[in-house]
Amino acid sequence: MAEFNDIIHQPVRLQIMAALMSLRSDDEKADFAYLKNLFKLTDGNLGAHLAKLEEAGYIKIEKTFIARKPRTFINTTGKGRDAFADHIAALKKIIGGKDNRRHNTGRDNK
Amino acid sequence: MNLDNRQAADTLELISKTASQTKKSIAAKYSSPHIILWGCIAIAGYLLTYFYLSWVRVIWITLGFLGWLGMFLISSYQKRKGFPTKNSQYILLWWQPIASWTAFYAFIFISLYMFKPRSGIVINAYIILVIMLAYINLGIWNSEIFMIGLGIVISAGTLIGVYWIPVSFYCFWMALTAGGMLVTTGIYLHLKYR
Repeated sequence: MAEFNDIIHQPVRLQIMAALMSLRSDDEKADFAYLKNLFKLTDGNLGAHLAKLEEAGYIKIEKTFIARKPRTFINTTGKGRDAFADHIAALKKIIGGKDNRRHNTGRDNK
Repeated sequence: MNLDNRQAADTLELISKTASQTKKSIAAKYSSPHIILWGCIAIAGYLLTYFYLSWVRVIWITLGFLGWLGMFLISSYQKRKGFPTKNSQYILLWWQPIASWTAFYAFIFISLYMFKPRSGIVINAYIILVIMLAYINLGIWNSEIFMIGLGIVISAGTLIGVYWIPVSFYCFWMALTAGGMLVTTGIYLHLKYR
């Protein structure tokens, strides 16, 4: 059932989820620095929003070392993908067919 | 939270824009070094051809090999670095660049042998047009408008070079059109999505 999601609806988190959902596969992970540049956020700001999404079980954060440098990668979980799809369905329900624009929401949302 | 129609539509629009921006920026980050590489190869190839015409085959086969080697090294570096994204499922197998390189050159050699183009310029234009067709198709399949645009502009430049540019200026024209366009587009994409 389409369910409006307050955690996802916050504008920065909504964009983070939209960016992660637009990656080519469920297995692909976005680099922390890439997301930070993409949305012009500070480390602290992005970190706080990611923590909120991780706490809800919507994303998975992987901390690793590449060439001896600490790196952080983020991707969505199955629960996150479902919640995002539900949120979009809820938004579309509000519009109730009055909006005829096509919305590209990343990968196909079931 | 209560949203009205307008707010819900704006939110969907924001999602749509973010998804599109992310796809474009990832594609640009991955492809811009490759585009710059091939632009430099094209400029070097045409200028060397102009000055050392008798070495034309050696020049282009060597530069083609260096280009593919460069692409492999850039791809390996991008994968190792994991920026902007990391995909643990995607592993470039050792035979893939070799098979791709072999298929490309086999196609070019077989078709040139079959159709027997009348001059070096036509052979060169044919190869460029085949590569640009691949660019346009890649652009269509991946919804990358800059690839489609690049393919069309360089194809048009190549045809202008064949039909309207004096033979003695052809190499300079192509260095400017093909090489220059590739380098400019690569730098533009790199700066736009850095």
